[in-house]
Amino acid sequence: MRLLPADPPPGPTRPTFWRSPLRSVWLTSMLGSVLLVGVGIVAVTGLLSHAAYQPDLGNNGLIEKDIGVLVIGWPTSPGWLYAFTQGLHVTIGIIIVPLLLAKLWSVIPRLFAWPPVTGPVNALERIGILLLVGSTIFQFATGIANAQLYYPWHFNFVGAHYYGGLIFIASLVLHVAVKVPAMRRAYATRREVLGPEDDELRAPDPAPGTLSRRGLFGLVGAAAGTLAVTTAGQSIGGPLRDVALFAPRGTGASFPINKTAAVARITPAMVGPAYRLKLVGDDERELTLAELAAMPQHTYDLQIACVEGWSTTQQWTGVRLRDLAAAAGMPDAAAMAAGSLQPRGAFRQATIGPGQIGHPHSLLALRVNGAPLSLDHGFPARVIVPALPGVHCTKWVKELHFT
Amino acid sequence: MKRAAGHILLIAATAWLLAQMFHVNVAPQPLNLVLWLALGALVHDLLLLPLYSGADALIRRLPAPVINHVRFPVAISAVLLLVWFPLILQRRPSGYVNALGREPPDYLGRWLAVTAGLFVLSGVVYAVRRLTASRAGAPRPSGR
Repeated sequence: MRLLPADPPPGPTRPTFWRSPLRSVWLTSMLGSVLLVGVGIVAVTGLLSHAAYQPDLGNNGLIEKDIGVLVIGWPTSPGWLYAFTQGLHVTIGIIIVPLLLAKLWSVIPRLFAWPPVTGPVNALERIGILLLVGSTIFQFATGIANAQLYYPWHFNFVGAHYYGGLIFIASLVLHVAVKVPAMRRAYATRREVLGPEDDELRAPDPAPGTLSRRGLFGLVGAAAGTLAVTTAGQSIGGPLRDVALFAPRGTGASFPINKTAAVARITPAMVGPAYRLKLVGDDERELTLAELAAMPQHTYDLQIACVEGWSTTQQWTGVRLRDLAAAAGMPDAAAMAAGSLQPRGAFRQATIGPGQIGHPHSLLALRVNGAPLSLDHGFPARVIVPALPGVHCTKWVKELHFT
Repeated sequence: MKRAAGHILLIAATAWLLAQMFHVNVAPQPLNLVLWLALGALVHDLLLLPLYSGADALIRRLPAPVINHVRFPVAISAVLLLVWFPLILQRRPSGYVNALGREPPDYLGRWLAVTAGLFVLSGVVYAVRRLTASRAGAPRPSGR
């Protein structure tokens, strides 16, 4: 029984509707190959970012059922590790947007292929493509919006971006496996030889050309380059920081903050003379700010890197976390949970592991660039650990719990 | 058959991942998440793509030598807007200034300035091409 006419109705379902002389399997293969490198970097660095949050420690896990892909012990060395991986994740994710658009444009006639479904295997393949395109756009849209603090949805970003990423990776792996033969054929064949009958993407009735293929690559490259120049500076720093015109952070005189004391509901009374740092371990004791300042102080240039892509290096001074572990009677602590004065919010606490506690550069910082911390930067004391995501470098520390 | 098995496996894995995703902690309103997952592809394929194809068709009506000198700045500026529209159109949460502790820069002005710069650059390239072509006395190559 035939439900649909054999001939496509007028409109985009007819091959002659699509007239760009640029479309071909070769072009799509080329765009797809470069895009694959880009999304590969974004996917791996995305999973690494999940690992850097160390969801297996303490109450770090933000996702109820974490299936633990690539959860590894996150190292402290090199100190720029998270700035590098997360800078790549955000920057590459932004600059490959034009490439993604070009790739989707190059295959759009396939969306309207007639008949829409040729059989059960074809139906499964089309569902697979829908999952791939849907999850790709979902990942790009949610990630880029998150970097701009724009949340027009009603779900948890971290969880949705994590699971969305896994769906994206699964559907991409299958897509690449299915398409490799077609790509090989396209690269092996001189494109002039292939007519519309051999090349499902080539227009049977092409319009006169207005842009060469090289011109199209030039356009994609120019758009990607403009995005790179106006964004990358927030991660790379130096003179590029001044031209990062659209980077949501990282421009301006002082280094960025993600959450002010006002938003975190930190009041001056909380950090006044009554402030005590509570150390919990084998012993439990309280230290005044003066007692903390009387402990051996160490100064290091440490990078602070945000999940949203920006990073900056500043000079931090404070007490080594391992000295504080010893002061709590736990010199060989396996974990340290830092609690903030901040009364609410997912990141008012964070737990780090033994390598991070023991690293000589891991500090409970009291000063930055020679001056006491400002209230917005976490006065009286904040955690700073090499290669740890910025949001886990707890500010306004009230309590350190060693176990 | 191998392909079919691969796809069935993918669909099963996705269904399982979606089930994880619909946990109350991630998606208190599952329908909203489903819409976001499904609508992105539809918005792109049925709205965005026809929109920019239509805009390009308008640009193609210009005299041949000018086409790409308009197409390039328009396309690059449009991509910038697509990526940064929450900043450019000030779609930010009410607590934004409070959270960052400073007034954000004028992103709309920056975008307009970059767009103007792209047009100027493209115009300069066009002028240089015309000049060199007329000096050489050869007819200008009009884009293929």
